[in-house]
Amino acid sequence: MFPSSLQKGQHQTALLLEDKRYNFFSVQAFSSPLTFPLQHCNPSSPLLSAVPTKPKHYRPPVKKKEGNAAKYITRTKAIHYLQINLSTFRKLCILKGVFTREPKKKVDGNHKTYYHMKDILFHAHDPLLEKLRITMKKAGTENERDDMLIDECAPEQMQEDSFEEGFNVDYLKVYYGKLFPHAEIFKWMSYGNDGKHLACDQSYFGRREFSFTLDNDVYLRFLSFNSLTDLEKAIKEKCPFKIDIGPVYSVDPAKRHAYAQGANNVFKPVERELVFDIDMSDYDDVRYCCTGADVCLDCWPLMTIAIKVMDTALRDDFGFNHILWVYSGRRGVHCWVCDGRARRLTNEQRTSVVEYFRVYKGNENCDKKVSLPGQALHPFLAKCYTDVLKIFFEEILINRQSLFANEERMDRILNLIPDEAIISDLRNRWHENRRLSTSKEDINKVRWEQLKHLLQSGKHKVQGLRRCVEEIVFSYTYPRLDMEVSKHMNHLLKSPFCVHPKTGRVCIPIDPNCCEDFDPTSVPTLAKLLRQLNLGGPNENIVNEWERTSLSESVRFFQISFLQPLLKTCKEEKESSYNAKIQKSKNSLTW
Amino acid sequence: MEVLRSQRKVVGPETVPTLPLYRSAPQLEVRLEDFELYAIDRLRVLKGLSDGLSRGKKPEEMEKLASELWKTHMRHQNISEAHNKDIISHFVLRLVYCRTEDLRRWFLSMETTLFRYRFRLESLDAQRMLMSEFNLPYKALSHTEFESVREKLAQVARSIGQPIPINDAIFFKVPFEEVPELVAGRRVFIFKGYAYVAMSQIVSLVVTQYRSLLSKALVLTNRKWMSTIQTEEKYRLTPIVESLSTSYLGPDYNQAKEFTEISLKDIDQVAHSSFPLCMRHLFEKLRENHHLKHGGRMQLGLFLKGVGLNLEDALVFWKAEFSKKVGAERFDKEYAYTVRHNYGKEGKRTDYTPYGCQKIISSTPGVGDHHGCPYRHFSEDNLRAALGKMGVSGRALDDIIEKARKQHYQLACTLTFEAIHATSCDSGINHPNLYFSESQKILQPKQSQSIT
Ligand code: SF4
Ligand SMILES: [Zn+2]
Repeated sequence: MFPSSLQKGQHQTALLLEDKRYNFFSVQAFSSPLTFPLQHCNPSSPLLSAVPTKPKHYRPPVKKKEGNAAKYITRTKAIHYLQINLSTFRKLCILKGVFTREPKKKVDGNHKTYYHMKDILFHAHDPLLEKLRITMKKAGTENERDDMLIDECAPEQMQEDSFEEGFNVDYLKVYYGKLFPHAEIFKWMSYGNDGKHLACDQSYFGRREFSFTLDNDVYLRFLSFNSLTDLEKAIKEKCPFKIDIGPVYSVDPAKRHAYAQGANNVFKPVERELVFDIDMSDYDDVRYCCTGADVCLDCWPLMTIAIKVMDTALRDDFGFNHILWVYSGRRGVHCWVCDGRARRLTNEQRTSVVEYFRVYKGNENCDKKVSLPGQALHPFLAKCYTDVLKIFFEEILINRQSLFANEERMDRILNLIPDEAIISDLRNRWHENRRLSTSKEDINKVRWEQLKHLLQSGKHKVQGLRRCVEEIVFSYTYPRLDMEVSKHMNHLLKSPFCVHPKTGRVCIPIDPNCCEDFDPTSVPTLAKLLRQLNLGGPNENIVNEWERTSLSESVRFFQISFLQPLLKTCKEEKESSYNAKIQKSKNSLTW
Repeated sequence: MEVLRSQRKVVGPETVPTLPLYRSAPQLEVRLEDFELYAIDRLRVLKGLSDGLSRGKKPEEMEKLASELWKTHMRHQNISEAHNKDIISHFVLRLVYCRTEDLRRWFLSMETTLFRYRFRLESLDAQRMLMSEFNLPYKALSHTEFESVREKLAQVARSIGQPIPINDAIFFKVPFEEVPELVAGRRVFIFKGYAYVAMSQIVSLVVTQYRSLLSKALVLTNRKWMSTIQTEEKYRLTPIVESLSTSYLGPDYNQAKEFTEISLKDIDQVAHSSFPLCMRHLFEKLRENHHLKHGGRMQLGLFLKGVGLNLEDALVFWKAEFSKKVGAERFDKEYAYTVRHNYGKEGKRTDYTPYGCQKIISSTPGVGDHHGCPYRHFSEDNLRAALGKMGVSGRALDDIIEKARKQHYQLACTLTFEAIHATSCDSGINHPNLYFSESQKILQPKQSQSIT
């Protein structure tokens, strides 16, 4: 086999290569890590054309072959040169962005795939290659070897598993490099201040806090960037596992210490989107399919309800228009209300808005978590009850969560009824119909109807019980907000289009108008996106790489349904406030 | 305290509101004794209000309380002198309470409360006058507009137990931002960003204005105090001002002074003997679940700091528990920061003070939360069980439950204290750390005696 000294140092390697070139190619399928000194790897080098040459024919690099033969290399040769197998080569091409080329004159035949020699040379020493070789070696089997020998004739024979599901830094690098919509995020965060208009505040974007959570759990807070290029560069360089977005401060947050010296602290948040965070783990007492961090299609409707209820109220009641809903990547949703009015709310006003939404008052030491006193429901609650909660509860949740399926679950519901007589009555009835041959599906419905009937029938229309049916429905469906996130301007929230490090899922926007159709289990994942990148060849019509992948739908939605209207409003606001100012100054002049 | 603007313009005597807006400092000569005495009288009022709030008094009771307090402390034979007293005492206290964030917050919320109830006592005309003084640009709803939302307004009125608006009811349409407390309580109908505020609710609108006015003024006063007054008045006013602010607020328990630090090994024992129910509950839950959510961590963490647990011990303490659940690594990464933060070692580096009962009682624990005041937030059964575990039973237990039911949470807590320590506690409990220190006062001599 190969001399082990080969790996030791470049000099030795170089020597070996010159002397034993023959040997070398006889074991070309050998896939051990190799380091090639560059000077031996020029295109004309016999090494690549695989034609054995004697040392005396050796020509210095400058005088080698010219033209296409020097510029291009076929895939097989590239693979041999890099000492990797086909699938690893493909990975490399995606991760590093190496594309196939179409030379005018195809030196080695028409049916072959060509690459720029320069590209291949450039990557010959990439540390990534080393990593890939190691993984390849681990998985090294007979059939890998076959893989190497397959020629270019079957280029579409993609291996589905060439990108394993999940999360790793190399994937993330490519994601930030090619897919993450930097420009869109920048546009959004600038709120029209990146324009030429006189009313634009050029410092606006630079005062926004970003924070990165890095690979090694390093947490960088108070980062700020002055331009799109700055932002993009930092993200690509640092490759953060998580990007959080904070408020816009009165001064550049990166220079906050310089300002903190002054007696009256001028470093303070001045603008912040009104944000909401709804997390499935807060619903653990009303879902039986999963707990904690897991979600499935049986409990996801709870999130759908939350989106529907909140979205309508934010628009109709509070009059907000620019609302972005984002999947949090795992088990919840985030909401960004971006209207100027919302961004300028004080902490106290934010608190009042979350309080307006809060129905759920219980803590761990009270069974009854929702109480709806008063003669009538507030119009907002009444509306969301009839429009959303009731329907979802009766049509979907009762069955999907089997809310009445066993003793324990029934008890939980009975606990919400303050009347002993009714409880025992219901318990008896439910006990009876246990033996009834109704199918599992129906039993929940039947029991619910019984409960409703009993509570709403004439004789029980007493104080305290009137609201009971509603209270049960509210307990089981009404959105549960993480209040702290919304109350303070300086709370951070994960940026859209981040990738969740645990699931590999991308935090894509959700269209509130068809949030019923959103399926958390089928959102684009890092691996899926890279695979899609891999499949598509170069395409002249494509400006952004994400257009080749299923991310395009999300980015387009973000642009068209959210960003464009938002920027339009920002522009209008700018112009009108500017005009008002001009008007005012004119008036004061004439006066 | 210079006059920035001329004094308020004189208005006809019949509608003159007795409630000033304190827009500018008065140009009055004040005798030094009055300076202090007036201030102390006003402080009594504010203190009384703060007690009332922490007892969980309802708005009607508060209204009565406010007017009584005002009558007993701020009365003066001479009407104009009474008016002066009102203004002078306000401005003196402004000076006293402008100096730190905490003082400002307390003063702001108490003065606002006072203003609110005094406003409600004014006649309708006087109320309108005050409103116009704030230059609020809102017009009453026109008839057609009123008709279009009438049904909704009626629904809201019913939901909060108010009489249904009649034909000539006056409503104002104001941006929802202006009436946060009405929004928070869902006490108004909100549509497209506007809240429909009834005349009877207008007080909220005015109070918000007053509050923001005062808040800004306090910051300004503070700046002035720092830059000039403090040194100029070094021998005359400064001592008075400084003593006033401490004499009535009570200690803030930021540093445990009376008892030197407690150490980690004692903590279980002290928790059992001297923690009030709220902290005991958190403590037990922490030991049980090895985790507490944010609200609980803050409440217990700051309390322990007040009790005298130093930062190193606090880190060890929290880490020991949390690492059982989330692992030491994650603790260092996610939670250690907040512990240090509480001790003023991170972020803004403010040294946070432990929460008082009022703050704890008015907190709103949600799912998975264990903080809050048990007397308020527990269901009756749970409270009974928890008290039973503390060793309270029989008559005492029933009394406590009764008090809690009547929303006298702090009285309930005081009774619990008395039941457990078998002594009376005259001062009453208004701070968990007070509970702790009182308890230690009683227990420690006994312990040292038993040793000797
Ligand atoms: S009254 Fe105060 S000390 Fe007592 S339990 Fe409630 S919050 Fe704690
Ligand atoms: Zn589920």
